[in-house]
Amino acid sequence: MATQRTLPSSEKTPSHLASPPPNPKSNITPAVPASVIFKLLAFTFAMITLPIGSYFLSVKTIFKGNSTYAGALAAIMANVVLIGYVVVAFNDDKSEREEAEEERKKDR
Amino acid sequence: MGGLAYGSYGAGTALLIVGLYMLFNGEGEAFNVGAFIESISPYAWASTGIAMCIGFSVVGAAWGIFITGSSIIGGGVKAPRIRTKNLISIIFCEVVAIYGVIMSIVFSSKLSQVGGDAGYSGSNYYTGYALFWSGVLVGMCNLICGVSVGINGSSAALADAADPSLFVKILVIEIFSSVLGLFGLIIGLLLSGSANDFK
Repeated sequence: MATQRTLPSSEKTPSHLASPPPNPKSNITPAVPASVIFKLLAFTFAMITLPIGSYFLSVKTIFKGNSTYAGALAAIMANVVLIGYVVVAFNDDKSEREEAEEERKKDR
Repeated sequence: MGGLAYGSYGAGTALLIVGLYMLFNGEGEAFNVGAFIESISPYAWASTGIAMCIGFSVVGAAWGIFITGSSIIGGGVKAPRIRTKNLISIIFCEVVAIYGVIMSIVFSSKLSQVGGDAGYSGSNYYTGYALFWSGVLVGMCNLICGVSVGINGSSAALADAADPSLFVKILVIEIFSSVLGLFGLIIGLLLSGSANDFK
């Protein structure tokens, strides 16, 4: 083929395709940590139940059957869950970055 | 295109000839759009509005999650560090669907069965039209909002894979597009709030 260039190193397979070293324990931890999945599932559950639950709890008791105000409250609750997720996500990110910084300092 | 064009020309010409014939023979009142709209039951208007509200909202949210999710997985090839931060866009799309669910619940709380001709009263017509157009309004706003959040979320995922410092900047823009759905929700609440329950 005209487009195929023969590099001196092309006889060897690239490093990521080479057979793994004879290590009995390979790394099989999933790419997405379990805590991330649980957080997403918990916030999804809260996103479903909290606005609708607050609507049905407040429509008869607090707002005396005025469904407009109860709907507005439900929309606010949905946004509260959303902001909560964003805050949790950024706290996670910050602590992870700090850990990485400390490990780099230790290595030095 | 060609076959459809000739067909539509033929159908249009036939409709025009029939219409002109009826018009010049004193039967032009058969084309009474207002009477046709009035002959539709208010329940039909209200139920169609509720169905369009939840349906279009879910289409928008699903479309957004589809775009965002595929980009997160694709970006994960370059940067295999999917953390809580990367899934913010998914929650943003979910909230669009929840807006539709909330509005459908609010609308359907106004529905109740009224027997006989009492269902065709002026108040019920108003409620029917208000719920129909609130449903169209909320559904379309959420459809566009979901697509917009999805495309933004997709860009956020790819930008984060290339350079993590870009993520916050794109997230700010994503918040702006998620506010679009809130606009539709507010106006839908106002429009349907002035409508009485069916009675």
